[in-house]
Amino acid sequence: MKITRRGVLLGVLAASGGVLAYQRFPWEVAQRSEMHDFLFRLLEVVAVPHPLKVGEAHLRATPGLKGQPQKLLDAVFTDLLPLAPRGTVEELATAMRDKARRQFETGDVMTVSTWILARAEVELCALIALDRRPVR
Amino acid sequence: MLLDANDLDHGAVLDADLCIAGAGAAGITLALQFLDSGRSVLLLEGGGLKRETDVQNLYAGTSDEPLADGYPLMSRLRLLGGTTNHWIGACLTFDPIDFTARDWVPDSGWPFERSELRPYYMRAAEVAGISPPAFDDVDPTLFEGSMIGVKQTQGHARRFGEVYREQLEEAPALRLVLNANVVRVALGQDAGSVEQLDLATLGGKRLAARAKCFVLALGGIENSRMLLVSDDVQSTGVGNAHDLVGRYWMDHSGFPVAAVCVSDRDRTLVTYRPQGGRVLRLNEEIQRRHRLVNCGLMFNHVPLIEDTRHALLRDGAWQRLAPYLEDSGIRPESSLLGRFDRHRDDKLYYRRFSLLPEQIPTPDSRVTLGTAEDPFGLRRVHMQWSLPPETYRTARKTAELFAEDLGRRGLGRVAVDFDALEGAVYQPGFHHMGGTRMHPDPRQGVVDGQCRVHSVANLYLAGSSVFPTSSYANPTFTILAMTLRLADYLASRLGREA
Repeated sequence: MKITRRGVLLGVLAASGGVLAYQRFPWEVAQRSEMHDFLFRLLEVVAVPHPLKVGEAHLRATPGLKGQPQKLLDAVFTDLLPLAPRGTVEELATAMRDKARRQFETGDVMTVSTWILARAEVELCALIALDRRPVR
Repeated sequence: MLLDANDLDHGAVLDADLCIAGAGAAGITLALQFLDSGRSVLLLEGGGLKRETDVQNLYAGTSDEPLADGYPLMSRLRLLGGTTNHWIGACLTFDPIDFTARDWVPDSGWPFERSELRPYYMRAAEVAGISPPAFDDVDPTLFEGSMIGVKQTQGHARRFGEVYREQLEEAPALRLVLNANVVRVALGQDAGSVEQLDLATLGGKRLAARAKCFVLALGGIENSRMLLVSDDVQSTGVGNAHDLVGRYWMDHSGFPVAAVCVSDRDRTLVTYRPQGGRVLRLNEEIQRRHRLVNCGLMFNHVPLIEDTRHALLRDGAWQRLAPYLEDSGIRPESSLLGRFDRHRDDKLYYRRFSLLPEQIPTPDSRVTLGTAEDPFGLRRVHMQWSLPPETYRTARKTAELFAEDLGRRGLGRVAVDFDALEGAVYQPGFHHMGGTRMHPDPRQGVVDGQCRVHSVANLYLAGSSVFPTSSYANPTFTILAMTLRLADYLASRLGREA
């Protein structure tokens, strides 16, 4: 698929306008750059360090995840979306931060690539790493 | 009065009410307390006013791994002012829990609580040239309700020899004798008191110092060594009837294996500095609950700060997004970076920090005598340093709890290289402690609660060699406080005996 300026702008708009409400967001669509970019922006706002390193390390340690992006999407977003009615990055980031705090409280944390992170953060990083495209 | 032992007559005997061997942080501080006391004081220093190679080489010795053979030579200084001549000046009080007997820390507990030292810490601040120390945690709101406490470090390099030389020289009842090396603690035949300290110069002169009370303030290695080599009356050395002299020796080890990442709104964590700054540690309740030893978290001197944009680009996002952006005709510099710039206030900061666990006291970590001899015919020191595995568990668990606490409160994320931690080669901190530990029971300590060698009526030890436990805090400030406490006791004793 050839990405045009218009496509990118539409993608960004779509992403910042609600992640296409997720339920209408099959993985094939998520492979598009706008989703990729959206995830990066989400990571940026949530402030997760070294997302690619963490994501790739998690995928190496959990090979079964590579063929199951939908599983990761479900794990990361299912309980976030009700908390983000407008679907903006900021809303999702707030929900993501709260989820991470809860996971730190309950000890649902993982050590990946030396970073001690909430499980949801690791899974978000894995989504980014999974959406890897060839470098030209 | 300033004297040089090289200028004194061979065979001279120096008399005083109080004889202090060693003119470092402890010795000088002790001497200063007697300037106007009406008591005569001898302050003996093995070195001179400047560092000299042959004098410094008297400290040479050997070590088992992980210490290098050069450790006994390089980690201390033999001249007026002693090791304060390379002291960075960091002053920090020990925590109350450092003084407490903890059932999960073998051989822990001091003969008194920290409250006993509080007034002496206040006086120590004057000696160290700092403001009164903070005993409680600082920044209570930053970590309110958390498991983390923040201690305030103060201080600056302070060479005691330079700062206090004039005062010492001008004191009428004090004689500061340079190049006077103690070569034997000479006990009376009943071994119950010290008759004199035998002194020698590298030029071959022999002298003696006699006093009502003697204080060895030779440092955290040399105090043990001097008791061990003085074995003519008691074959195991002075005060060593229970084979304790030299044991429970400690040093601090730092593990620079961790980093913290915080977002822009929590930048206060990044701006903490070790020098004149703050040290983080778990509060006492958490230490008790998890049965951990005390462990400081100190941010390293050189901060590694990056913002999100650069971190993401280095992670590969740039290369991965570039093809699509090129296809679209959008110049990356203006679009991608521009978009991230909209979030320029959401920068991330990375900073490395070290884990500084208290060393767990263990009898296998010790100062012993080697086979080589120094120019006076005294056996040189041999060091054996041992860190129990529990030290690593504490460092690891402390980092994990720190990470969870920051995460729970949204303050940042922590990285720890656990593999590096497990395989770390110990890096000693040149903080010599223990070897002549303090305990009211002579079977468990070399000195009693007043720092008097149990079996010897008039011999006291000053300095960190008497510390039963090590905390994570730099020891010098506590050395000063302990010395001031000893000074009060000795003043009282000498007053009674007068």
